[in-house]
Amino acid sequence: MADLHLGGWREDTLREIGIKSFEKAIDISIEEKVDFILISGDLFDSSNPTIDVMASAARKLYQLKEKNIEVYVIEGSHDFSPTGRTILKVFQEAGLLKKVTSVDDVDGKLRLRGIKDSKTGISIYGVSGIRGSLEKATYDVLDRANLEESEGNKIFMFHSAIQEFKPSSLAHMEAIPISYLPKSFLYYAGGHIHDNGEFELDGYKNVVFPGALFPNNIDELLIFRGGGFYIVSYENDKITKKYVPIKIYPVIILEIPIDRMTSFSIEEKIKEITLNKDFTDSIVITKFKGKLEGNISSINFKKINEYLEKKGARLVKRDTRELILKEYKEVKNISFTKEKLEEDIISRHKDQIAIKGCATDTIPFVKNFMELLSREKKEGEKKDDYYTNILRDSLEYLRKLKLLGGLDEDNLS
Amino acid sequence: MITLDIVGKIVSGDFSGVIIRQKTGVDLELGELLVTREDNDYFIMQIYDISYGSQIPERIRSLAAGLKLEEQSNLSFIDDEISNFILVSLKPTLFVTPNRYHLPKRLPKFFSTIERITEADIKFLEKPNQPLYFGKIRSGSRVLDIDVFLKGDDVITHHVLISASTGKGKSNLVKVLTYNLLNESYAGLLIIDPHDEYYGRTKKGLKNHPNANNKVIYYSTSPTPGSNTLVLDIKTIKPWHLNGIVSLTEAQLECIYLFYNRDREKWIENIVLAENDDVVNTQTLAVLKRKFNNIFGISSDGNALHFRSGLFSNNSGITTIQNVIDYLQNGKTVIVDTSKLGGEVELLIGGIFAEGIFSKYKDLSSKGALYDKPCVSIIIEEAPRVLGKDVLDKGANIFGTIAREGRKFRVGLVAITQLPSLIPKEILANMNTKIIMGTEMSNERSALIESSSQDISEESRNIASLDIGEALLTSTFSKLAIPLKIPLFEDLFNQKVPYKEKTIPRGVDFD
Ligand SMILES: Nc1ncnc2c1ncn2[C@@H]1O[C@H](COP(=O)(O)OP(=O)(O)O)[C@@H](O)[C@H]1O
Ligand SMILES: [Mg+2]
Repeated sequence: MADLHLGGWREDTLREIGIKSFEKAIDISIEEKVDFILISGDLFDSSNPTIDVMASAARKLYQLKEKNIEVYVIEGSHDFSPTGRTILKVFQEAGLLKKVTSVDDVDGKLRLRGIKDSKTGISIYGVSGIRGSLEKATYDVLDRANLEESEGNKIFMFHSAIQEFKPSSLAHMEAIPISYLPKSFLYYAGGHIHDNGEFELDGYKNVVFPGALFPNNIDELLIFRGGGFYIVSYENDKITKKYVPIKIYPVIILEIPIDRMTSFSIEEKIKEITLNKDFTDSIVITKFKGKLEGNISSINFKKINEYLEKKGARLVKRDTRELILKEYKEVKNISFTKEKLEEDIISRHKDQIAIKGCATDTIPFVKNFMELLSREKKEGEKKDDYYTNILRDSLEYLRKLKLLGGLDEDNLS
Repeated sequence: MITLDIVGKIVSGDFSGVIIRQKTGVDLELGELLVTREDNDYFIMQIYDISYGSQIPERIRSLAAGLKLEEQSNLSFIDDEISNFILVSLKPTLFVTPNRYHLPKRLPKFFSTIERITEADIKFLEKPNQPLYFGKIRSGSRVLDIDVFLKGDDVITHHVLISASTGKGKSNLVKVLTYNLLNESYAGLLIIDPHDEYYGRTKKGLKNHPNANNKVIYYSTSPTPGSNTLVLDIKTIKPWHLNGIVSLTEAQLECIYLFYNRDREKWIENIVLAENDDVVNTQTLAVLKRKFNNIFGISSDGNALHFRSGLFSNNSGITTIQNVIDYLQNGKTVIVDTSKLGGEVELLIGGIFAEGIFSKYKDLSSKGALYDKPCVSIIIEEAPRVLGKDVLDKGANIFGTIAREGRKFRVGLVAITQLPSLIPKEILANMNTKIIMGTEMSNERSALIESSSQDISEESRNIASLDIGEALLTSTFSKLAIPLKIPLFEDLFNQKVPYKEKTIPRGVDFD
C-alpha cells in the first residue's frame, strides 16, 4: 500500500475516515495472513503528525508486530524531512516498522543495503520520494549494477511518478524515468500516484501503484471515491496481484443543475432529486452546475447541508467550480486544492523571475521554499527555536541549490 | 596604415571580378579574404579564381618549357618572375566605413595595393542578442580568431539548410550549434537522431554540457539510466499522423476514419482486432492490419493485442507526446534516438512530435500568446526523405507544412542533406540560412547557389574544394556570405573544464 496520508484533511470526519481505512487495510492483511506489508511512502501526511494520529498508527502497527508481520517502508514526499527527524524514525526505533533505504557510499556510488525478509527470504530495497523529485540526485548515483547482480528474489520500493506510466491527467507532474530503477526485480512497489495501476515495460515487470488508500482531496474524492491496496502472492515463480478496495463510507456525488434558479427553487430542486435517495453514513459532494442569477451567497448552503445531513449524510462537501456567476466571467480550470492553486499561480508568474544557476526548476523550487517558510510551530517547539530552525532549514535548502552565492550565512543570522 | 602583408595590386577587371597580380613569393588560395584600403574605409574581397599570366607569347613559352625540360638551354628570362606571374580574381563582397558596412557600389581604385585580411578588419561583426554560434571566420584555409554569430531567433524560425557530402562534417556542425544553444533559453530543439550521435551515449555529446541536467532530454528505445524510454501509447496516435509518411489508398483512409470517428482513441486497436466487418471491405481491413503490424508492430493473437516492439504500447507512454511538446515550449533540447527504428517508423515518430509542437504553437498564435514562448527548431537528417519532390508529390506531410508556413508560428526546420537538389526549389528558397560544406557534385552545388540569399554564383569552385569542417554561410540575416571554419566538437571541451555540480543524494539513509 502507499499514500495513506494519515492526518491529512482538515475536516475531522474525513481525517478519521483516512485512519479507519488504514485500520481496515491492516485488519484485512492480518486476516489474509500476509507475510509482510510494504508501505511505499506517505504513510503520514507530514513528518510530524499530531499525537492523536501517531497514537492511532502506533496502535495498529503494534498489532502487526504481535502477529509477527513485518512492515517495510520508505518515506514519501509528505513524510520525508531533509533533517531526518521524522515520525518514521521514531517508529523504526520502536521496532514498529523497518526503513529499507540504508545505503553505503562505495567509491561515489550509492549501494543500497536492503533488508532480507526472514520469513520469505525476499530482499527489499527502496529509495524515498522527496518533493520536487529531488530523489533524482540519488538515482543518479545509485549502484544499479550491484542491485541487478545481487542474488535471490528482490523487491524495489519507490515513491515517484514514473515518466512512462503516469496518466494523462498528470502529464505535467514531475516524474522520474523507469530507467533509473534496477532491472529484473520481482516486483516494484510504487507510491506517489494516487490512482492505482499495474505496468510493465521491457526489463521491468510488475510495476504496481496501489494508489491512495483513501482520497486526499476533493478532486480525488470526486474521481476515485475510494481507494485500496494490493495483496500480492508469489508462488511457483508466478506473481498474482489482487486489488483490494477499501470502502468505509460511500461517496455520493449529487449533481445539481441550477440554471437561472432562485435560492428557493434550488432547495426545491435538491429535494426533488434526492427524494428516493438514501444518504445514510455517506459522504455527499454537492456539485453545482449552471448559470446563477445573482451572487453565490444567495444560495443557502447551510440549509442544504442540514437537509442532506438530516437524510443521513455524515458529511456534505460542495463543489461550485462549474457554477457560472453572472457578475464574473466563467472561471475555468481553477483547481480546488491549495497546492494546485499555488502551483497554477507560480507557473503563471514564474517567467518573471530568473533564478540564475538554480539546480531545480522554478516551480518545485518556489513550492519547496514556500513550504519551508510556511511551516507552523510544532507542539512544544520554543518560539526562538522555531525561528532559528526555519532559518536554518531555508538556508540549508538555498545552499544546496547554490543560491546563496557569496552571502555569508553568519551575517544573515 | 599597416602594409606589412601586401599580396598584390589591382590590374584589371570589372564589377563581377577584380583581377590582381599576385606579388612574387606570396601564395594566395581560393576562398581567401583580402582587403584594399582607402583612407579610413576598406573593401573586403574574396578570391574565386586563380590563373597564370605572362608577358611572353604562349608560343614562345611552350618552346622555352620544352627546351628547359630537355635541358637544352638556360633561358633565364623565360622564368623571370617579372614576366611570368599569377593572376587572382576577386569578388568585392563588402565596403566598410568607420560606422557602417554594405555591399560595394563602386570599384576600388585602379592599382590599389591588396593585403591579407586581419582580425581587426572584421571586428564590426557583433554578437547579437539571442546569439547562434556558427564557428570562426575563415580566409581560405586560414582561420581567423573571430567568432561568427547571427541572431538565433531569426535564423531558426526561417529554417536552416545544412548541406554537404558525407563525411564533410554536417553532424559535427549540428553538435556545435546545438551545444552552444544549451547556453541560451530562446529556443527549444527537437533532434531526430537516426545515428544516436548527439546525446553522447558512448562518447562526448550534448549530455556533457554543464546545463545538460536541466536542458537535455533524451528519449531512446534503450534508454541509459535516467533517460526516458521512447514509448508511445497507441491511443495517442491520430490518423493524420500517417499523412504523407505511410502510403495509404483512398479506401484505406476511409476505413481508418470510419474507425476513428466511431471508436476515437481505440481506432488502431479496433482495426487490429476487427473481425470481418460488414461496413469495410475485408481486403482493405486485411491490408491495414498488415500495415499496422509493420509500422506499429501490433498484431492480434486471438482477441488480445500483441506488441512486437517496445516502441508502441497500450499501457505505457500515454503522456510522451504531451511531455515532448512541453519540454520544447519550455526551451529544452529533446533528442530522440531513432537508431533502432526503421526509416518509416522514424519519420512517423519525428512527425508526431513535430505535428504536436506545430499545432500547439498554431493554437498559441491564435490566442496571441506565441511570443511568450521560445522558438522551436526541428532538426532532421536526410531531409529529402520528407522534403523530397517525389515524396511531397505523393501527399503533404508535416515537415513540408512546417517548411512552408512554420515561420509564422515560430517553428523552424534544420534540414540536413547531401542531396539538396532533391528538395523543391521553393522550399530551398524558403530556407533562409544555408550552411554549405564541401560538395563535389556540381548539380548539388548549383541547387545551393541558385537558392542562396547572397549572390554566390562565383563560389562553385570554392564549395567544391571545401575541406572537412569548412563551410560557407549564406543567410538573409547576414549582409555577406561568410566563410567559416567549424570547430571540432571534441575541442570545445579542451577550452575549459566544465563545472560539475555536486548534488546531495536524498531519500536514502547513511549511518
Ligand atoms: N569541424 C571539423 N574539424 C575537424 N574535423 C572534423 C570537423 N567536422 C568533422 N570532422 C571530422 O570528420 C568526421 C566526419 O564528420 P561528420 O560530422 O560525421 O560528417 P557528416 O555528418 O557530414 O557525414 C568526424 O568524425 C570528424 O572526425
Ligand atoms: Mg552525419
